[in-house]
Amino acid sequence: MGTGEGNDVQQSTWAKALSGQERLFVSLADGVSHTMLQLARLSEQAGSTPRGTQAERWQIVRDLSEASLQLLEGYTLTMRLQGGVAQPELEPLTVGSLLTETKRLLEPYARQLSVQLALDVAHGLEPIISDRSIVQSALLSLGQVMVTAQAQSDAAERTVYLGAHKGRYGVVAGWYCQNLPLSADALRRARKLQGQAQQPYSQLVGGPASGVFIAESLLHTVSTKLHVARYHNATGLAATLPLCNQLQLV
Amino acid sequence: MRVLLVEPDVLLGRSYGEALTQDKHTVDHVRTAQDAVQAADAHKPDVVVVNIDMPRHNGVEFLYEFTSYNEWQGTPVLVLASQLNHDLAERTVVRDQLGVREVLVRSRTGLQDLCRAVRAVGQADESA
Repeated sequence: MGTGEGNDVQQSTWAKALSGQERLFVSLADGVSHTMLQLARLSEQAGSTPRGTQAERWQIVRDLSEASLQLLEGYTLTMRLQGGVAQPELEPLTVGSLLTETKRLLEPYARQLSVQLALDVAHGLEPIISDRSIVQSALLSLGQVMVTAQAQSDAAERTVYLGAHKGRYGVVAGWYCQNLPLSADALRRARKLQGQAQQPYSQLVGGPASGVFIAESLLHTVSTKLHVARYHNATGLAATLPLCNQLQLV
Repeated sequence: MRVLLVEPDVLLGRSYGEALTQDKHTVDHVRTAQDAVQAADAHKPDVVVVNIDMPRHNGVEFLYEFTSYNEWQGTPVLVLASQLNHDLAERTVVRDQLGVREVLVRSRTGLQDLCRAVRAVGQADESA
């Protein structure tokens, strides 16, 4: 949403002057600001709630803080990889174990937003070759956005699936929902608006959708990218991860 | 007063809702524009508090839709906006046409500030 014609022009000129890294930083800052706002309002309310409810409130504070830390870690990992301070460490990975762990890490955040997470991994998937930390960090960042989007929807059943299946060029792993309007066009538009608009991916989620862009930057370092995918009547955002050819020969 | 709170963020909505309830208001918290219209249809609100930074619909579009119904015209509206969208919501045309009484910047509006703004709307309506 713009802030008046004059401001739009000014904002656009300013945004064009930003590098890709700076736009990612703006997106991250917007994401963390939103969490800080949630925490500030929770703390303000804490003083006037009964002690039993306070324990629940501390749990929310903890889960929100940890979700924000996941985003920040994803961002710093991207910057290190892009700056050459760190290198991807490619190794054979079992997709099932990677996704199970990712789901476990995101569950506290999803619980706070009353969203169910479900794992849907196709049987007999071959191992992939990638960097475990990078792929997991990307899936966590992306998962936060999908969970938030599902929580903001008017769907009666709020479930997000972490799924993986075999694709033409490898294993397609990502987050899927049955009721969110995801399209390749909207993703393209979101990429262009990243760091410029407050809601670059407004078709999917209110807010900065920082997790999408952090995930995309991370995946870029292991030579893949996000795309809109379909699986079991659900649409999602996923990445294609290359198969580990050596282990296939064995 | 009956407050229709339109806030897509579950956690912020919960905080705002609890604070307004403690301030003796009846709160209908909804997350989407569609649900807001249905909630207003079920129980006419005395005041609408809306976060204009909504996914899919934006809050200004929602207010245009809301005020297109005769029975809801004149319902006072308090807008919660990000700092960036504050100017848009403050525009005179938007305020006049959509019954916006006050635009509150989210990051600078604590729960007590929100309660105070809702009370002020009620007092203004009583004295009018």
